[in-house]
Amino acid sequence: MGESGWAMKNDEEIASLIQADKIELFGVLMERYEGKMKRYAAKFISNQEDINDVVQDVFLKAYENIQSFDVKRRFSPWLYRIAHNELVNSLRKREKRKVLPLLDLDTFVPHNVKQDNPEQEVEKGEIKKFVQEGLEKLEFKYREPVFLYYFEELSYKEIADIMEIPVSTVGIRIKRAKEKMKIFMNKKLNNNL
Amino acid sequence: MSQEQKEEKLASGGLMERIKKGEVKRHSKGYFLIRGLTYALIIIAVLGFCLFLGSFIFFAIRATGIFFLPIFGLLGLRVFFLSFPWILILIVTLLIILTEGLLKKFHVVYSKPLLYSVVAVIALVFLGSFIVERTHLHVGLFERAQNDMLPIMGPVYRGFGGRQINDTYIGEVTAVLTDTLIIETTEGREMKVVISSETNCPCGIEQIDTGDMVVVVGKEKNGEISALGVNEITEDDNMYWRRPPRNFPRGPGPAEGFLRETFNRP
Repeated sequence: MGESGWAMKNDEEIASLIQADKIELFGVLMERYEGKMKRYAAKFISNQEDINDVVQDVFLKAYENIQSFDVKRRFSPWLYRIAHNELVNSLRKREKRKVLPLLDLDTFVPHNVKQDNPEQEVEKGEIKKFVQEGLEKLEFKYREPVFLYYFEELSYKEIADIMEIPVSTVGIRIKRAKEKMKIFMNKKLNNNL
Repeated sequence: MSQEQKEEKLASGGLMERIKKGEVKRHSKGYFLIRGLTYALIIIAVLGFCLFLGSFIFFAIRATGIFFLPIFGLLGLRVFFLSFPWILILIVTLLIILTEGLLKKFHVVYSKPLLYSVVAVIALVFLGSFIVERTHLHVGLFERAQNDMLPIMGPVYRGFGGRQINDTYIGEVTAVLTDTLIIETTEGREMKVVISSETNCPCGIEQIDTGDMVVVVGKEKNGEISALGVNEITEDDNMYWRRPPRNFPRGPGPAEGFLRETFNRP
């Protein structure tokens, strides 16, 4: 099959072929996800060399663990899960501090957060522009779900699986992140006036 | 752009080359199976140890008699809290945290608020420990420890199960006198228990007779206990394995059968 033939196949089909020893196809997945992974890492790491190291480690781990991937599920959240772990480990090593708290009250108690509805989807584009600036100001635990939701367009459930937290916690973190960014943007506007 | 050039462009550049050369290997499905099984076994082992220790706490509370203490008022409560096996409680708490940490890898656990799984694990450990304690596992092990037939855990059983709690005595009533009981403790000591108006006796002092097993709380001086609390131990309290009282029915029955089988008592 030619290059264009692989382009027709989805990630899960390609992952399945890699599992069946077509290892050269891993390059196709790397090509598809390199930009996304770099963008994801860049939201948390500023040094380009470090970003490349993390992305390389993500693909290395993905290849080593490809047999554990369940082809009935989506490939992208699986890869983001690996990336999440690599980022947390990398930040922990570089910043010598805990990136995520051991026990977070957000994950401990139930929250009543509604899933997004179509109206909110319309707002999503506008919010995306708004959060672009404020994202850097957020802590890791808020920044990550906001980025995955607004920029990578993953669902709450997929983000929950990547971060291994309840879906309601994803909702509450995005809600709080928006509130924090609103305060930040208001301050910025007041300073500019 | 050719495929080779594209691969070169990747930040992971070189990785594809290493994969093709076979320098980077995929873990086999068997590797994940073994890893999953090992992980499951670790969880079962931790949970099993947690149940063992949890049931041992129940056993130690019962065996030492501190189980009875809260009904004896302030002194009873004070001795109860001071004598509680806190170190074991701490170890079980740490094991519960470890179990929770291990279980958090599973979708069914992390997809729900942590509170649910914490409550579920605590309930499982509590109920499981209670059930294990009822199996007489610890009674048998304690007996072996007493006879120096239990390596490693022997000192733990003797330390926690057989320890003498301050101001608390368990024994069989050998004589009932006016305002005085004579008891023979499970350690074989004869002691005089002085009953006064301050003595709290939930079962009613007049109900206590020769041959009854009792737990006594009070300060001891020269073999004489000024009792602040006295209570009868009944068969329902499931403590006769320590030493069945003389009035214990000798006919065939589950408890007697158990005593015979476990301790080879006539």
